[in-house]
Amino acid sequence: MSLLGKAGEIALLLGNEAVARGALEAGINVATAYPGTPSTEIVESIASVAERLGIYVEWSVNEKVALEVAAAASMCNLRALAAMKHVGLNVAADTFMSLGYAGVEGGLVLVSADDPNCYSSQNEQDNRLYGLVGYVPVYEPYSPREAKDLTRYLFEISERFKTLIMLRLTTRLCHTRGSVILGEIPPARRKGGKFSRNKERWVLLPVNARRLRREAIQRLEKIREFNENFEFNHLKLDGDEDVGIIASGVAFGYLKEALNQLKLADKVALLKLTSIHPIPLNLVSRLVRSVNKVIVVEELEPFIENQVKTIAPSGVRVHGKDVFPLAGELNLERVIEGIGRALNIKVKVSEPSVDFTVLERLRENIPPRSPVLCPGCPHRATFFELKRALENKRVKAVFCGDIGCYTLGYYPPYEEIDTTLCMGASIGLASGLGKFAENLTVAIIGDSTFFHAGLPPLINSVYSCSPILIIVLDNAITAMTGHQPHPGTGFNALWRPAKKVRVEDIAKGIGVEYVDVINPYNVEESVLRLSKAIEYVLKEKRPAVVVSRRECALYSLRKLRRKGVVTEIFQIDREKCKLCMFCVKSFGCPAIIVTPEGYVTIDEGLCVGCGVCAQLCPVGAIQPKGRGVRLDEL
Amino acid sequence: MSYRIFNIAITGVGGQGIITLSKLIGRSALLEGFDVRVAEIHGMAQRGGSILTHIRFGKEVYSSLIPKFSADILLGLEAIEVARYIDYLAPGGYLLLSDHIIRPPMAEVRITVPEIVANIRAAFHDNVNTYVIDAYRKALELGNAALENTIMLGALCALNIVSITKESFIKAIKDVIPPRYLEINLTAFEEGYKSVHGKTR
Repeated sequence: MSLLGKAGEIALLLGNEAVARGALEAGINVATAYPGTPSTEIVESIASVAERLGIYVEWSVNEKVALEVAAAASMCNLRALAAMKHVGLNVAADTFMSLGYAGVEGGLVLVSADDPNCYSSQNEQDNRLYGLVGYVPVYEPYSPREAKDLTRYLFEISERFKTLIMLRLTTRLCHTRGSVILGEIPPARRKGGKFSRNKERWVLLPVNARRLRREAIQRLEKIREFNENFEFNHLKLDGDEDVGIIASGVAFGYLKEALNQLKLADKVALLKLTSIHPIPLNLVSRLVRSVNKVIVVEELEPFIENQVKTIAPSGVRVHGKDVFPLAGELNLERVIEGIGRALNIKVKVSEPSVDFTVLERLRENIPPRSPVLCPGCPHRATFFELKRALENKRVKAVFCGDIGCYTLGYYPPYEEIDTTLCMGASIGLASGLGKFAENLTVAIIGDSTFFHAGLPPLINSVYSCSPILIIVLDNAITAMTGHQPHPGTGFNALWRPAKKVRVEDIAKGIGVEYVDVINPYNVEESVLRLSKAIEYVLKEKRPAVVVSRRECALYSLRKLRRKGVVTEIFQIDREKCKLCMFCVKSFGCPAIIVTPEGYVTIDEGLCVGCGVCAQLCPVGAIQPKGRGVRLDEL
Repeated sequence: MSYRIFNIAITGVGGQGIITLSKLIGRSALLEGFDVRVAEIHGMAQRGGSILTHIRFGKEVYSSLIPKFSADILLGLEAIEVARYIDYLAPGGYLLLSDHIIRPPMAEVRITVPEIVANIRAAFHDNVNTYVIDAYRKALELGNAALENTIMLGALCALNIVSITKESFIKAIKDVIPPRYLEINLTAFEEGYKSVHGKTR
C-alpha cells in the first residue's frame, strides 16, 4: 500500500493521497469529511489505514458537522484534518467563521478542494476569499510532492499560532498523480485527550467575540510576519530584471513550462507563493519594487493580484486578469498567451501540419457523449416509473432535483430535473413551489443528500403543509463520489457495522403521514405505488414521501465480482423485436444499442442483468441469456 | 535516461478502466526513475462519460496537462473518443486504438473504426503511426471486457518508444493489480504485446 510506504521511498500518489500521507506524517489523530469531488480521496485513503495507525476517521453527515467534529478533537489537544469540496465550506461556513475567531488547540487543518472549470460542481467559487473574511490563513501547494510536505508542516503552524488553517487545493492537483518522496510516519498516537476548558474562548457571546476578533486580527499579523520567511515560498530575483512574475498553485507549474518554452526563464524575476493569506507583503514588495512590470498568474479570482496592486509603486504596471481568464482553469497554452499579451510579444507557436478541415468534418460526424446513468442504475428505473405514473394520472409536474448521480435525470429521455441548486435544495425549493406553482411539485433527492441537508426542509414542508411528492432515491451508498458509507448504510467509515438510520423512519418521525418504500426494479408495482402517492398529494394537499430503494448497481456488481459471482446478461430476440425503439427512446440504457445495420441489441460488456428493460418491452423480446445471477432477484 | 518529456494521452469511456491503465503506465515510468505526472478525471464521468487522461514523465515535470498536438502517443480504448481528442496527438506520433466503438445511448452512429482511422490519417497527411488492436474482442475471449485496458498496455509496451522496459510494465502490473486478477491480467498484457510486437515501423 503506497500510503504506508517507507520513509525515503518515492511513491506515485494522487494529490489527495499526498495530502493524506502528509497528515499521517504529522501524526494526526482524527480525520473527518463529507465526500465531494475533488476532495473525497483524502479521507478515504486515511480511512484505509486508520485502524493500523489508530486514527479516528468518520464520514460526517455533512461538512459543517465534519468541521465541528475535527474542531472538537482540536479542543482536546489532538491533531485533526477536515476535508471538503469548495461548496462544502458554504455548508460549514458558520463553524468556520467562529473558529477563525476562537482559534484552535491541537493542530487543525481544513482542506478546501476547489473546482476550477466545474468538473463536478455547481460553481467555481474561489475559497481563498473565505480566508480573508474568516481570518484564517490559507496555503496552496503546486504539486503532489509539495502537497505532502506542506500538509505535514501546516499542523505545526496551526499549533504554533493556535489558528485554524486552510489548505487550498484545486481539482487538477487533487486528481494528479505525482512522484512524492515519503517521510517518516510517527508511531504512537493518543486515542483521546483532555478537553481544554476555556469559556472565554469557546463561548462566542458578544462579550467574548469582540475580544476574539481583535485577537484574530493580531494573530493574522503575526502569521504575516512568519510568512515573510516561509520556506515554501520562493523568490528568484537578481535585481536587473524588467519583469517580475508571481504565481501560485498549479499555475506555477504552467508558468515554469511557459517560461522555458518562451526562453524567458533567465530573464524574469519569479516569486512562487505558497502562503496565500496573509500575503507576505515585504517579500512581494521586494519583487514589485525592483521591476517595471508585474504579472500575477493565478486561477479564478484576482486574489493575489488585488493585494499586489495595493502595494505596487505608481509606474509599475500589474497584469493579471486583464490577460488571463477569470473563468475556467488555466493550462500551458492560456498561460503562454497571457504572458504574451502582458509583455506585448508574439508567442504564437508554429501551427501543426494538420488538415483542420478534415479534422472538423470528422468531429461533426461523431456524437457528443454526456455522462449517463450506468447500466442497471436503479435511478433510471425510478425516472421511467415516475414519468409513467404522472402520465397515467395526466399530471404535469415540476421536478426539483438535487446533487448526486440522479442530476443526470436532466438529460433525455427522462428530462425530470427542472431545478438543481445545491445540497438539499430539492426539498427546500419544493416546499415553496408546492405553495406557489400551479403544477404538482416533485422533489427528487438521494439518500446521502437527504441525510446531509434534506431534514430541515422536510420539517419545513410538514410544518407549512406543502403539497409535494418527495422521492428519496435510496441506493444505499454515496454513489457519485465512489461509494462511501453514510448513516443509512449500516457501516462506518472503516466499513465496520454501525447503527442504520432509515429514511422512512425519519419521515414518519417528522410527521409525514404518507410514507411508502418501493423497489424500482419492479416496474409495474412501482408505477402503481407512485400513482397512489401522487393521488394522495393532489387530494390531501399534504407532503408524501416515497423511498425508492435499490442498491447502486455498480456497488452491487463490485461486491458480486469480488465474490466471483457471474451476473446475468440480457439479449434481444431478433425474431420477436418489432424495432419499435421503445427501449432505446424511453429507457436510454447505455447497454441497449442500435447497430449500424439498424438492429437493436444489448452490449454484453455493458449489461449488468438488472432485468428492467425486459419488463418494459411491449413484445417481450428481451430475455435473460441464462448466464448467471440476476440483480433484480437478489 | 533521456531528458525529454514523454506525453501519453489516454482516452475512452468512463468504466473502461482508464484510471487503472493510467496508474499502470505512471507506475512503470516511476520504476524507470522518471518524474511522473498523471492527470485523471474523477467524479461525474464514473460511467459512460467521455474521458481524457494525461500522462507525462521525464527528468522533471512541472505541470500535468499535455498541450494540444503534443502527445507522443494517443492511446484510445474507444474510437469516437479518439476522434474527439485527436488534436492532442503530435504529427508523427503514434495512435494506438482499440477496435471498439461504444455508441452513446440513443445516438445513431454510422461511423466505423476504419472510417475514423482513415480520416485521421488524411488529416495528418499520413504523418501518423496507427495501430488498431482487436482488444475488446480479445478481452471478451479472455472472459472479461475489463481486460481491454491491459491488452492495450501490452500493445503500448511493444511499441517500445517511451523508454520504459517490458520488465517495468510487468512489475507495475504486479504492484497495482490485486492478486486474484493478476494472472489473467498478465495473460492479457502478453496478448496485447504479441499483437504489435514485430510490426512496428
